[in-house]
Amino acid sequence: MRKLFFVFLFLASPLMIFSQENPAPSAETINVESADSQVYNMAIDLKIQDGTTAQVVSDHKAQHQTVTGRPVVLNINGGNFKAAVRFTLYQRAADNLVLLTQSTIAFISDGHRQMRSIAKSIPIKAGEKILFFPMGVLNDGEKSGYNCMLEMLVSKYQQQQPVSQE
Amino acid sequence: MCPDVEILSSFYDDELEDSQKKVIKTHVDSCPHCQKKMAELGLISSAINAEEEPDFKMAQVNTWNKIMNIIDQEDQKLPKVNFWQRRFQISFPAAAALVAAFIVVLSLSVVSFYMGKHTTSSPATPELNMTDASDALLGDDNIFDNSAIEFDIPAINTFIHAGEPLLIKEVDFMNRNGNK
Repeated sequence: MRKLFFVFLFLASPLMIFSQENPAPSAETINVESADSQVYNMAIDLKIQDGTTAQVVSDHKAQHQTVTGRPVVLNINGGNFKAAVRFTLYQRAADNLVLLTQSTIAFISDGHRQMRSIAKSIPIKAGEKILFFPMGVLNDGEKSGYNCMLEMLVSKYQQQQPVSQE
Repeated sequence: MCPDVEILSSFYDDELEDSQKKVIKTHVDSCPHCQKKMAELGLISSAINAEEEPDFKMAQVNTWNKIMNIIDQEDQKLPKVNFWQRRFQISFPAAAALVAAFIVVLSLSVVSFYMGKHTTSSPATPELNMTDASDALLGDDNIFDNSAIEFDIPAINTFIHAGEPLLIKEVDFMNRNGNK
């Protein structure tokens, strides 16, 4: 009986050494194919628009695939402001989605440091273009500044994305 | 004429029918020969009843004790070996199976260990750690989520806070601007 016990200990020792709990799946390990109905492609276009000329002076594009409930986080580093924006899609029905936008903006205005945090949601459908102005929209009388605008196009994720040929 | 011995034995054991019993009893009372036979039967019966049953239980215990004594004596004859000094004899197939099982367990453990090590866990909803506006403006990039998409826009210092952040559909925004 003792011999059996020692043999068992010998066999089980590697398990005791290497065993550990499986960590939660990260974003990279999510199997998007198994949840393809909930996977969306988010095309994000950050535009800096001159308030006076309405000309786009800076344009940054990014694409991100996400599943419903998992946020897409953006960090915007500007001259006098920084913004952390988080977009999360939630599915209400087959094609109806809710886009939850949470943003925290830190900026310097009139020599004072300020910080604003908001959370807004909007019902959308896949294919609709959504605009987000983290610093608000310049009024007609305040055209001397720049508008910071995020354009978002949410579409259903397709496994074979069209490859652009240059 | 005297009855058979078996009939007398049955009479003695009270196994006869009443009619037969009466006939035999009448005969035995008047026949000295049959009376003698009946007396013999009585002697035999009393001798059988007086004999004791053999004690099987005791015999069983005695036998077991003898067997145990023999085993103890055999054990005492064998030299005693310490467990750690004892030589194990294992057949080749059993040894091969043991080694194979160990290799399988070891390889599975190593694979699961490395799989677990190379998958980093991250919370389902990453926290926005931006808790202090001053820190944010001092350029501490770590306060932002490291897995976030980074947009570095030109250092235009004339961004002004024009109002509440606006989230709107493009169609609605165009209509709003068109109406103004």
